Amino acid sequence: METTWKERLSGQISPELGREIDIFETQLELRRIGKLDEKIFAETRLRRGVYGQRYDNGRRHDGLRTQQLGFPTGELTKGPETMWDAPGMLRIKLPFGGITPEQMEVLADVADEYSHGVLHVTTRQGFQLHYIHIDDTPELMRRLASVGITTREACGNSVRNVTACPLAGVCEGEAFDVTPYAKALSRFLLGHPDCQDFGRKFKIAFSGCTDEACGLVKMHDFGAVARIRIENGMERRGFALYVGGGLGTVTQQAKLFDEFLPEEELLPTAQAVCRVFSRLGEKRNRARARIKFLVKKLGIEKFRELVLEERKILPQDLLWTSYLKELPAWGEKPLKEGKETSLNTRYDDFNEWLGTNVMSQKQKGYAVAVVTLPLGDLNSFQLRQLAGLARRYVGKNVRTTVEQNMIFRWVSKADLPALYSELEVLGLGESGAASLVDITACPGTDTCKLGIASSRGLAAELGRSLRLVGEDDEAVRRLRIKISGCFNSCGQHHVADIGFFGNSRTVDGFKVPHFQVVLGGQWDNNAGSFGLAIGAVPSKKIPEVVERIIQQFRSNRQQSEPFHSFIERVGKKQLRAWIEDLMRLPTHDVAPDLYTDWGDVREFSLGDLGVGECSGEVISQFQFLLADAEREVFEAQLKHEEGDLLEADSLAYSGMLKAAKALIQQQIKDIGKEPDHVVHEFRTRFYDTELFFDQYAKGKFGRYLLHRYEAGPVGENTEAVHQLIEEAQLFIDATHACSAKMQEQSVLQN
Amino acid sequence: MELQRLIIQRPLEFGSILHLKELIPVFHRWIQQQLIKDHLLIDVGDYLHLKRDPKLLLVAHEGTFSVIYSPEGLALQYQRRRPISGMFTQRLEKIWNTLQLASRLLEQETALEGKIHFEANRFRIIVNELLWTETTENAPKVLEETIREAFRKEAGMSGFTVTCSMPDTKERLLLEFEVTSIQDLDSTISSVEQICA
Ligand code: SF4
Repeated sequence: METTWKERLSGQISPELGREIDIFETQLELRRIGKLDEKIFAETRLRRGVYGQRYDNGRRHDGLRTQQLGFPTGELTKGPETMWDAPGMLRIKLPFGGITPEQMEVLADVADEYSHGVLHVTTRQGFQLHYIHIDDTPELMRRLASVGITTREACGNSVRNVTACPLAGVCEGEAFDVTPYAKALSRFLLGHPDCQDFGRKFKIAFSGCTDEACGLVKMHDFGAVARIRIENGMERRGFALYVGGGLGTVTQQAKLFDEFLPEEELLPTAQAVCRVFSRLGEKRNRARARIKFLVKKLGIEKFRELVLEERKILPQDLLWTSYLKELPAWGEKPLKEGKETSLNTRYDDFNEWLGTNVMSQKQKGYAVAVVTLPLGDLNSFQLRQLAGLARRYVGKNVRTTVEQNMIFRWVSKADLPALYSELEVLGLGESGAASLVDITACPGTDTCKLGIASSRGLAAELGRSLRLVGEDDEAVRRLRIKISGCFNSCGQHHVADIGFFGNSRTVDGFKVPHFQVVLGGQWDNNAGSFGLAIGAVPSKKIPEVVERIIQQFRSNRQQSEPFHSFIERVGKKQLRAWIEDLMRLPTHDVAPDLYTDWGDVREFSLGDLGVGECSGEVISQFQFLLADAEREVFEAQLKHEEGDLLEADSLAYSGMLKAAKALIQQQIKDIGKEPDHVVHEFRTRFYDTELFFDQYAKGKFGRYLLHRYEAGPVGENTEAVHQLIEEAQLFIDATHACSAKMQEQSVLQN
Repeated sequence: MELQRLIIQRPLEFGSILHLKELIPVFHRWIQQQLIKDHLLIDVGDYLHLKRDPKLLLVAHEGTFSVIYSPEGLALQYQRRRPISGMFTQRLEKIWNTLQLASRLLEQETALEGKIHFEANRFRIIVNELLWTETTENAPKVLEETIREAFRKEAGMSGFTVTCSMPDTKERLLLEFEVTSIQDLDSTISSVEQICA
């Protein structure tokens, strides 16, 4: 009988994914016994989606004092200042937000068992689970992998979840369905060697058209907008390509890289962009390491030139275009026949839901229904039940959205009343999608280490207080509010009509949570422009700010003037004057409540701020490869102990090859995995040149690799295998020394 | 395999009128004073915006306390998160005692002015470990008998009605226990009525 998930799921996980998780489990063990450096382990786990969470430095301000949290494993860490036992977050990737009923059920199961039964949809169409213990992560990953979900590269300096319009394929206004392209690019770049040496994260988005907002292309590192061009009377597909956009403290609209990039050039161009980013992007100063800084520094023309040069020298890859052959067969299959029907009923709630949460698809008889999730949250029971609803109404056609909701696509219009009633029973029938009350908020101080103010607390409060606002005014009802807990902008406040990000001010000798008010960001035109910062207001006064701004918009807008034009016309000075009095607070003894944050009775403090892991530690590709080589030698020891001598031999040899490859890559980028190639390059570049030589042992350590290569496997001789393992470890140690020597030489030369 | 991930719930008495927000400062104070034995209390989680459970969390390293709406109304739940060594009966006893301690603290909490009373004769146990449920032959029966034995041995309780329910095959295995006496759960009870076969 199976007693572990690994045994139970064997055969259900792709060998590649299974192996990756096994490797992660070994790395976990290596860290636990102190054989893997905490910084390397931190970046390793981040690249597996295993993220830190508030208080994981072992300290928490309880309102009276800062408590040291004495976790059972004591000083053991899973990264710098990150205690092993501390609850963490797991980020789960869902390319373009696509999710099947089977995946929903497994997500619900793991949320129950390893978290507390709540799942959170992120602003990148993924899921997050909180309060996860790191020991549980390999098992959790296996269960996700059994339904084709990976957490790989969900965090860290890597290519993050690729997002796309949730309406792709069913939207009237799109040039074509971007889904298969998003899927192909996501697969192509996952674990790609050219994406392993970034100084920071890299975010990609797809949009089906220029005007609408769904893809938010212009705030991305790499954004593609679908375009059709007529050439010789034939339709040709391609993309308007944008690079170097970003939010955060320094916002930048992405620059147009190419007006029309033919579809077959999408993947190789992305690869070339990644190479240039890897090579020239900032590595030391994390604050300036996103690609937007590189594009700004070089200018888009120079950046383009470098990318095109790189593109020319890329080794040909069949994967660039193989997916295009499958495109004619691409398309979602509706579960049921689409039926038009008269939908107006006498039930007000249903009519309201129809008005805000349902859109007709371009395919006759079908609609898209938005399931609004308060603050992006739902519980495991709801998700399991949603899986059931999906099976009955739409099959696999469900996606998450960047506005932290879920959508059912291909709902036969005749089914809408029934679907609505079932959602209502689940507590998921709220109307108001993409409206004033459908507020986006990042995790903020609830769980994020960098959170300054409670974005979710504020969002919950506004959700309550604005419920009835704008019922009589569609332009008001359609305003969007987005909140980030700090300047890092995970809540995407820059592209909201009314945005906020958390900060702190000292008033009357007390620290007070504040939100900077950012007005007039443009959601349309793919996040076409960013909002204007007006001033910081105490958190508890923000509902009044919203009320006032809305009131001014109601009374002073010109005819059908959009909100962002209204904000632009009114100007910062006047806007500030409208809220200036709210920026001030009475003294603490008069109104102590105003000095606290939403949903938190503790006295406000910045003492809980930790060190962010958003961008991960900057660990070089060399360090990674060497850590991986050491992991293989460790596994070789285990196999040797188990008596699996052939496997032990192969792992020890593979460890040496990896270490050699790490060195070679310091000199040339394109080096394959084939032993012939690696050994040849190692011999000519490091052995023959004596660069690898030790002062006393001379070429001895280098010969360990050369000998194993020439002599082949040592056979099932326990002594010989043991010796090979020892040699492999010495070879890796010598690799470290050689790299250090090379660095010293380069410093001296410069 | 060893069953570790258990959840125990105790419903509040019908008619307990409590504004859930009132519990937030209480939980924060418990953290300040680290009031739950053998637990490292860490944080309070607010999910009042959810129309479903959980509503509030008190997160400890060892397990999570939550206030939930069970089918019968408000309940306090303890979800064990980290493994406990020893036999199943010892583990269950530890989990049980932890929930009892938290329930008593809430009942005695002066800030709540006696608004909370737990039902004396009902509790639910949920197996939060799918692998155990799937790989244990006749899991409901095994669980029910094991729990009965554990309570008999550890708490001296020998008589209570067991209602076994597993409402949806996709949901977790859930057993409802009803004590057939007005005496509270700490007392010995005779007369056994077994509903779950
Ligand atoms: S915006 Fe700040 S508080 Fe919010 S999730 Fe990002 S880093 Fe954390």
